[in-house]
Amino acid sequence: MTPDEQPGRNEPPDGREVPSEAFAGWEENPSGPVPDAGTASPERKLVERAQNGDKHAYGQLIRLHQKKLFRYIYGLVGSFDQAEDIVQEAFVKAWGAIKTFRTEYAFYPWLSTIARNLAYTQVGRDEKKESLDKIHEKGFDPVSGELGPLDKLLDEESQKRFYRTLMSMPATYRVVFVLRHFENMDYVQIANYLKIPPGTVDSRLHRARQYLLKELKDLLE
Amino acid sequence: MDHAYFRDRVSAFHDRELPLQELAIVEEHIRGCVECQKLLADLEKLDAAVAARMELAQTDYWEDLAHRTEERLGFIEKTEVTPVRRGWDSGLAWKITAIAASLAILVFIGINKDDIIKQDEIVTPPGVREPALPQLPDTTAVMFDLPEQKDEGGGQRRPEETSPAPTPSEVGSARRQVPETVQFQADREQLRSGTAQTESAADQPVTPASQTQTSPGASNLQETSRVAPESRQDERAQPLPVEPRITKEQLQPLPDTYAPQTAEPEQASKTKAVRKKTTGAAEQVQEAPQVTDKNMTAETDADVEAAENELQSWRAERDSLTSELKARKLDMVERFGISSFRSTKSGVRKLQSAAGIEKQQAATEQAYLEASYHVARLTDDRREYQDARASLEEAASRGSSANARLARQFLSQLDRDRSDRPGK
Repeated sequence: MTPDEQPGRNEPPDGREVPSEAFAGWEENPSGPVPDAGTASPERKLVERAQNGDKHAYGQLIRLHQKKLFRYIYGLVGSFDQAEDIVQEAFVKAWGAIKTFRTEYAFYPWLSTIARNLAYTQVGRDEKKESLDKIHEKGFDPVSGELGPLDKLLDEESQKRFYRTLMSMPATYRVVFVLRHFENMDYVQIANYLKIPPGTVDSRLHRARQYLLKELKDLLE
Repeated sequence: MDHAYFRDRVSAFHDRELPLQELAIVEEHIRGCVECQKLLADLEKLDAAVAARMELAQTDYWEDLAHRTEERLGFIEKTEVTPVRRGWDSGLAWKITAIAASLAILVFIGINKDDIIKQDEIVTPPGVREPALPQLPDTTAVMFDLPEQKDEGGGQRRPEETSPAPTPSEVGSARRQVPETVQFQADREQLRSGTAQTESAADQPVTPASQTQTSPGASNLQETSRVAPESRQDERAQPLPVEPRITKEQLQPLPDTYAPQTAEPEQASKTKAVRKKTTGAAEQVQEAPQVTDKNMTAETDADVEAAENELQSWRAERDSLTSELKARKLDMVERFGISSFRSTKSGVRKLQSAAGIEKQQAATEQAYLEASYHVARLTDDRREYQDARASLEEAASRGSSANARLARQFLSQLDRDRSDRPGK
């Protein structure tokens, strides 16, 4: 898995035929365009106000999305400090480009794409590694199993156990699992993003689930 | 197809990600396979467990994170700069300069204390007796120059209830603009006792033409109070008595042991302030300290000198840190080379040594950033400010390292300082 600054291609790799309009805005929104319901949602109004320079509106967008974004990026990079920095940087970049954002699409997928690309860019710059396996030292200690600062953001012991297990999973499986469960991306989107075949996405996701089923068996009963 | 083929596809089936043809085949298998049904059920439980546990708690951390993001965006100005921990010997030159400047200021004050304090003293000329404060039970009566009156029944009667008094011209003369306190007191005593005489020409009572005997011992002042209502209005409209002022020419040095005359604490004092001088040091009790031009100049010069000294010391430190950073970089290149290390024993040893030096480098850079910030903050030279700022901006652009964050904080603080000082 190699870092890649660009989102996925405009075509699904497995050759499935998809209507072209589904890929409209793909560069901005690899999760696919989310059609507007026809009336301006509260979030859309916030985005429009932010596009007009309303900082307060953008501050509300930050508060609306930062928690979900942080959880996602933390799942990718496994480092609390890095996740925090990437989330902030993503909001900064989004603010810089917000006037180009098309408000008929949902804001979060666009934001998460920026954050995801930053995650891989930063990983590629900081390390001469070829995978994300070794990134999690700063936020998660694989030896002791401690979550570090994330521990304070988890109320229940079962949550802490879930995250400890997730973080202890090999990164190649964990990233696919996070993209699927935290971001609701489908196999094609994950494949495009990670530049791997959808079949590989399937097998890695299967392995990630097997790992969690084994480690969290008692939680599921 | 063996069972492993279907087992490996249960996950994709659960996600509805199988191609249509495969989906039908796998679904048919699952209907008849207990193991695959159990696996499917486990995957559904896992989905529910993940959804229930993946949410992070709503704590103060998120508001703090949002706030920091807004600071990073420049929406909010940061109000303080995180203090930088430095070694005990760092900034030694600045500390010494600051101590020397403080001592210089103290010595200056000590040498010139007489000049500094002297002008604030107000002394009473030896020939002038500290006047006794008048005893005025009724301040209203004093203000309007009205006596206390009692009617025949023993109760007080308002002055306007007496017979009409003299003409307005007589009122003007009866109204004192600048009464002598001693004379005033004497007059009051006389008036209370009912004597008719006053010594001052300004205190000439009204003509007795309108005098009436409303009560035994009616005084001249009583007569002066018998004025027409409109005259009394004019009287009230006239300015209140002003206490005498002591001019500078009258001022003479106080004796060494000066004790104020007896005074009525509840009455208004004649002078604006009471001065007391004790041997050896000047003690001042005053309502409004008087700051002279001489004092202001001395303090401003000392401040400017201290600021200049501080700037120079920061410049010197910055220059020395620049040399140190360059020297260490060269040292690293020479000793460890620029290329990446090989994973050999010697390579690992080199890595460890480099890591140690890198930590020192980061600490030196931190001190360098602080010195740059202070130079930018203190200098009036535009070029020097820009150079210092450029150093901070270069450091701030280096990702998310601790020094980069520190540099950004310094830049925010400089921007805030600059908005307060538009000329820079």
